Parts: sequence; C-alpha cells; structure tokens
Amino acid sequence: MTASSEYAVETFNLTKKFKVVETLPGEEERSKLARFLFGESFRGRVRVRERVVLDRVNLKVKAGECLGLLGPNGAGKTTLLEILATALLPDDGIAKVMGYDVVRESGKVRRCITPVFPQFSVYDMWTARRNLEYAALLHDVPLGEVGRRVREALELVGLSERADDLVRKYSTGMRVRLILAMGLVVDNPVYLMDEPFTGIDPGTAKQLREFVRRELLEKRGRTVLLATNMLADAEELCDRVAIINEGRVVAVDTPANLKRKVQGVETVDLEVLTENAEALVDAVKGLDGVKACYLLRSVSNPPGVASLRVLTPDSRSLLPNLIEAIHKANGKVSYVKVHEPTLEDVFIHYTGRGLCE
Amino acid sequence: MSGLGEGIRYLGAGLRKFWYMMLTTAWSQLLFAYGAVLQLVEIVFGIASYFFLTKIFQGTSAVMESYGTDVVSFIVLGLAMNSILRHSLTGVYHALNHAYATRALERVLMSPTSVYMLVFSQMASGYLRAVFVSTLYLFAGVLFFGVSLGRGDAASVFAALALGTVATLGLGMLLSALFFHTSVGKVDPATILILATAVSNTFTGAVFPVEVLRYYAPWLYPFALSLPQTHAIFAARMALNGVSLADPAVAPSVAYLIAIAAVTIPIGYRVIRAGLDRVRREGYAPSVAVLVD
Repeated sequence: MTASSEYAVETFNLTKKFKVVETLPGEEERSKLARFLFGESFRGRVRVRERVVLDRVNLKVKAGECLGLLGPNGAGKTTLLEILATALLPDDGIAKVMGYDVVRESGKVRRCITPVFPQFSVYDMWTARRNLEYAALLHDVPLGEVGRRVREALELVGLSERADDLVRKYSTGMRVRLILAMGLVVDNPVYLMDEPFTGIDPGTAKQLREFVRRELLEKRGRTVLLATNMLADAEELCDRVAIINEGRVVAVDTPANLKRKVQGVETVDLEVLTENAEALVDAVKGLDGVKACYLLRSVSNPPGVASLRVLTPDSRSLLPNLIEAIHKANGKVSYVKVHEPTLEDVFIHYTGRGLCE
Repeated sequence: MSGLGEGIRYLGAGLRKFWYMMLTTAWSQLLFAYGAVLQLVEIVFGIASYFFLTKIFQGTSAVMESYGTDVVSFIVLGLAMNSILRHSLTGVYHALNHAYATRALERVLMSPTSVYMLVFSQMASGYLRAVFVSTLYLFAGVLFFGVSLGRGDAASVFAALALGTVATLGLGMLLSALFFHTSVGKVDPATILILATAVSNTFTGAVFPVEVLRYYAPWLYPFALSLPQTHAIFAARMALNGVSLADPAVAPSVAYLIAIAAVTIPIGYRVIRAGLDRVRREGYAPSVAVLVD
C-alpha cells in the first residue's frame, strides 16, 4: 500500500506550535487557599503564550533508510514523530508517509506506520503474549496471522520463555524488548521509534541496536525514523542524521559527512582535579583559539574530578595556554587526549550546546 | 464463500479487539473484586435507611397509587434502573478520561482502530459493572426487604431501559465535550461527574415520583421531565406494572426517548470528533509541555 513517491517520509515546512500556560508571578502564593480547597490543579491567574515546537522542518527519507533525529530533550523530535504518526495535527506545512498526507489521509498513513513509543502503556497485569496480541489487533493484523507474528516477535527479541509471565514481573530491559516486539508484530513499512533504548544498560542497548540494524533494516528493508539523544544510536544505526535544535533542523547528512563538516577542529579531552568545574569552563572559554568548551557528564568521575572537552582549530598552540589557565583557576590537569571530532562535537558546532544541556 | 469467510474473520478480529479493550478496564475492577462484597453491604445499608424511613410515614401516599407498588420497592427498582442509566450519562466522559490518562487514546490514534471502539469497549465494561450493581440492588431488596418486582412483561421492561440507555448515552456524549475543554483532561472530572450523578439520582424519578415536584418545587418539574432518564424509568416502571409501552400513558415517554436519541447521538458524535481534533491540534501527551508550572 503506497501512493506514488520515491520517499517513505517527506515533510515540507512542517510547523507546530503549542500553547504554553504560565502561572503569573506571585500567583502561587496568592492562590494557596484555593489550591488547598480545589486541588493542586488550581493555578490562579495565568498567561498563555505560543511556543514554536517545530519550525519549518524539511526532511526527505528514502525507503529502507534509517534517519536519526538527534537533539536534546524538548528539541521537537517526539512532536515530529507524533505528527507523522497522525496523533498530532501540524499547524502549517505538509507531512507525507509513503506518499499519503498525514492530515487528509490519516487512515492510510496509519496502515503504513509502526509506532514504537516506549511511553505507551504496556498492561502490567497481562502477559507479554496478550500485550503483543492486542498490539497486533489494534493495527488490524489478520486474525489468522496474529499467533504466528506474536511467536516470531517473541523469538526475535528473546522473550519466548517468559511470554506467559505477567509483564509486571519484567525488568526494564525486558520491557524495552517487549515494546520493540510490539512494533515487530505490526511491522508496517515505516518504523517511528521514539528513544527506544532509553533506560537500559549499554550492553542490552547495543544488542538491540544490532538487532534493529540486522533485522529491520538489512533483512526486512524497513524505513526507520529514530528520535534519540544518544550518540551511540545515531553513530551505529543511522544512515543519516538530522540535528534538531529548538524545533529546527540545523543539519542533515551521514554521520561521517557531518564530522567532516567540522574538520579543521580538534577535540581536546581533559580530566582536571578541581573543586569548581564551572569556574574552570569560564576561564577556558575566554582563551584565544577556543571555539567551545563544556563539561562532559561522566558518572564514573569521583568527586573533585571534572571531565572537560575543548574544541580548537589548533591543539598544539592552545595546550600550553590551556594548562596554564586551568592552573590559574585552581585546577590540576591529570589527563589529556586529543582526537578527531565526534558527533557530539558536530552537535555543539551547530547548536552551541551539548546534548545533555 | 471466501467473501463470507473473510467477513467472519474480520468480525472475529474486531470482537477479540473489543474484548481486549474491555479487559483493559475490567482488569482493574476484577483486581478489586472484594469491592463487590463491600458494595453489597453498602447497598443493604442504603436500602435499610429508606426502609426504616418509610416505616415512620407508613409508606403510602396518593401519588404512589398510580405506580401500583410500595415505597421501598419503588426506591429499590428506581436505584437499580438508575445505576445503568447513570453509566450512560457519565460513561463516555469516564472512558475518554481513562483512555487519556493511560495513554491508550494516543496509542489508538496512531492505529487504524477507531477511537469510538475504544470508548465503547470501555463503556461496555462499565455497563457490565452497572448491571452487576443493579442485580445487587434487586438481590438485596428481594432477599432482605421483601421488594416486589411487579407482574409486567420483562421484555417491555428491558426495551424501555435499552431505549433509555441509548437516549441517555446521547446526552452523555454531549457531556463528554467538557472533557475536551477542561485543559484537555488535566482536571479531575470528579466535580462535573458528581453534579451529573446528583442530578441523575435526584430528579429522574429514581427515588421519588417526579410528580411530587409539581407541589413542592414546580419550577423543577419541567427540568425533570426534560431528562431522558425520567421517561426511561417511568416507562420501565409502567411496564413492570403490566402496562404496554404502546399505552397512551407511556407512549409519549417512549416517543420522547426516541426523539432525544435521534437528536443527541449525531450531535454527540460530532462533538467527540471535534474534541478529538482539538486534542490532536493542541497536543495532549505528557511528553509535550502544554502546561508549564
């Protein structure tokens, strides 16, 4: 089922705005009694303003391609996927899936997509098998095929032996597998995946990424749109990456080409003993030859140790000044590594901020 | 033949989907199965209050004579019928709110399945519960308080109730518009539902004949007559009393129910569709910062 189009997904100047309701300053204090009487949802006087969540987004995704939507939380990735999945209506512009317009032909679009949204409720009091049967029936999988598809999906994600356990007994990793399996039983040509590997350990995430690459992309030839703020997803899985920041697509290309675009920039990673990492960043940012400087959030760092990343056109000439500046800011460099830019550096190059900021 | 087979398979898949959707709410009710026992106890105490109250006044009045029953039976039968009709009034609202809160609504919006199937499957689950509660009323009433179920034709009683259920459902569909305009489901529906339920319990002739209003609150009488539940309960009571639904005393109520259903259901359908479009336009998922605190 497809209308004539060489692209699986296309958007033209796609724009979405949301109303944002803000409580007026001081109103919270003033409406204490009302909140006590009418509940926490009572907000007192508010003002409403519009926030642009997607700003003239233009994308083209070929059939069989995996496009990563890379951006921090609130960048507009989920909104874009929800519009493509027909759960939201755009305010302006056009979006098409398999050639069908998501507004005028939403019924046909829904038969072309496989939504994989981890925030969807799985029913804890049901078994995995029943959850999968329900997912298949929701998407009108023929009754005669449901059993086979459920068995296959359970097998593929490695949940066959626990298929008849209640989902409430599942670990987080198993739930992620189940949500992926809910997509597999539907298996329409365009997968819309919203941060599918969040909240699981790196080993399991890697296994599942390999599974998506091997099974969905290479074997079944599906098109995948993958919203993520994890670099590993984008690097390992995606043919192309669209960098999204504050609702705008600021760059689209292959991971390798994107890295090439910031060539002429070197990355210096430092580990510094310091009690005031923020002051250190301010000190380094003021140096000549520093294009960007930010703290890497590392869970493995002991207290008093900061991981710093500096982007510079010439690391050799910067290093002496850099080390001196750190020293003056009461820091002590314990480790230095210079390397080629990563996808995160590309992101910073285009947006001026890190993915976790 | 293959077309017929295809049709049967399609119907089978639809029914199974409907059943699973019902289970998504029925599960929570089954989880608290012991609640049924507590509910029975509550019902017994409720009827007992009415029972002893009527003993004080000896439970007879001129207005009751037209119904051909005693006061306690009148009340118990009214409460049993009202339990089902009340679900018609508030069920659509409840179903939408539940679907929104559990994100089942969002999930269905991304699938070829109709939102109406989700809403009505969850309502069906509520109707089962309402029928169960009605049965408890009748069970407790007959067993402990000597309630008389009348001598009428059961089919006519069910027909009157079914018609009333459909007509009240239309009203419930209109009421559900409030769901779409109360911060897209962020506000607890309890306040609105309590009001709807209170009106439904008080002014529909479930616990006292609405004719009483003519003497003590005449301005409320037209309001009570405008509610479809009033006519459904009246028609069912008459049917229990052996009066035909075609009888000139009952036929106007039956006609009123048909007219209300014919008007409110198509409008209610459009109201829900417009509300869903609003939800899709304005955004509703918790992942979207619709409200900033």
